[in-house]
Amino acid sequence: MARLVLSEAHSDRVEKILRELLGKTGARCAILADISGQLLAVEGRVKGLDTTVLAALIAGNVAATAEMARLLGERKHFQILFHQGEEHNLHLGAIGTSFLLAVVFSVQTQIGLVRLFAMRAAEELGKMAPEWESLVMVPGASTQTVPEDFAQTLADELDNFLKQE
Amino acid sequence: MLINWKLREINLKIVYYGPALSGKTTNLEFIHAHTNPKMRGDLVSLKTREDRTIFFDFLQIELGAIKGLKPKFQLYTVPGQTYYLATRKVVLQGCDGVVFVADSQRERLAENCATRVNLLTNWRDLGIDAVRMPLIYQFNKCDLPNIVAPETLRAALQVDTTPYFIASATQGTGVFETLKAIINAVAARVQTQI
Ligand SMILES: Nc1nc2c(ncn2[C@@H]2O[C@H](COP(=O)(O)OP(=O)(O)OP(=O)(O)O)[C@@H](O)[C@H]2O)c(=O)[nH]1
Ligand SMILES: [Mg+2]
Repeated sequence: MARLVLSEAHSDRVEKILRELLGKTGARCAILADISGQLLAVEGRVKGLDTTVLAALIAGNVAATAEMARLLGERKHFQILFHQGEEHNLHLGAIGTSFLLAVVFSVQTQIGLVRLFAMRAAEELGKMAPEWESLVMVPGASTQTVPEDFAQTLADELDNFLKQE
Repeated sequence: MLINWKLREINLKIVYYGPALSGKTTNLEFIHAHTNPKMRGDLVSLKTREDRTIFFDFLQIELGAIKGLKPKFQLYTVPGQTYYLATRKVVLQGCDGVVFVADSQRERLAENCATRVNLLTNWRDLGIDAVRMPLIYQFNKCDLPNIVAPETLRAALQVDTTPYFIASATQGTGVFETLKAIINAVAARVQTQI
């Protein structure tokens, strides 16, 4: 099971990195996700944007191109993907082998700027990543734990929560 | 699995796996159509013009807070067509539990078995421990006339202690039972993980 734990301090640091990226580039929003499609953090203007679904699609996109890279005999994944639209561009960058940074920006925004600062943000995030991945492995490292009777309580209440309509 | 303490959320990924046309997408469509819209997101389907899954379907279910922690379940389906074999492994990445949707029709028996072997192979390639991964079987299309007995499917798929549900995804029987079973199995694992 892939296990990731983001403490509040982690989230704060990640969000700060994403905000700086947006501040320096004027991009619309930035999304940090993992390759299984889970959304770790998002910053910027995301009203009306389904970031959960976007994270799932981004991960699928990157995973598909990783397979293309493999077929072409590349030793590593493609590090950057770029999608060009009429109003928005989407810049996707790999952070190591497990995480992805997506930046959505207007076509008026300078691509070079986004590329540069996205790369810097990815480097910083990449340095932090081992902490999220290892937290659960180290006993006592996480100050917060899942309540002991979480699964039992969920089982007891599942019929109330999940009603067929 | 992702726990975000700032948002007090726990994200869990469940993958519907199975042979071509066994009814994986139909399961998600039924769940989407029959849950309170407040508890679910949009159903996103990456499919061909013929409605066959080319990459995956995606649906997020969000339950109310349990002991101050809000569980979110991300449901995915894989493409059953062997033509898209490579993408199955991609979708399995980081999964916390699997629903194996088998097709109960007699002529699909061999295909069910082959897909189960393929699931085990993909798990192994991804470094996933098959013994500990939550797995629920669903014997779908039970409404059709030419089906094999559940016992036959059980034996063929080597379902011994693993729970299974008999279902008709088009009619909706067994769909929620299957979903609840995998949710509970996955949630039980969360506890032993931390
Ligand atoms: N009679 C009957 N038909 C079903 C049932 N479940 C699904 N079907 C039908 O079987 C066909 C395939 O269903 P899908 O849900 O698209 O199958 P799938 O497993 O997602 O197929 P792929 O994406 O190609 O792997 C559709 O025509 C469904 O309506 C069932 O329980 N009974
Ligand atoms: Mg499908």
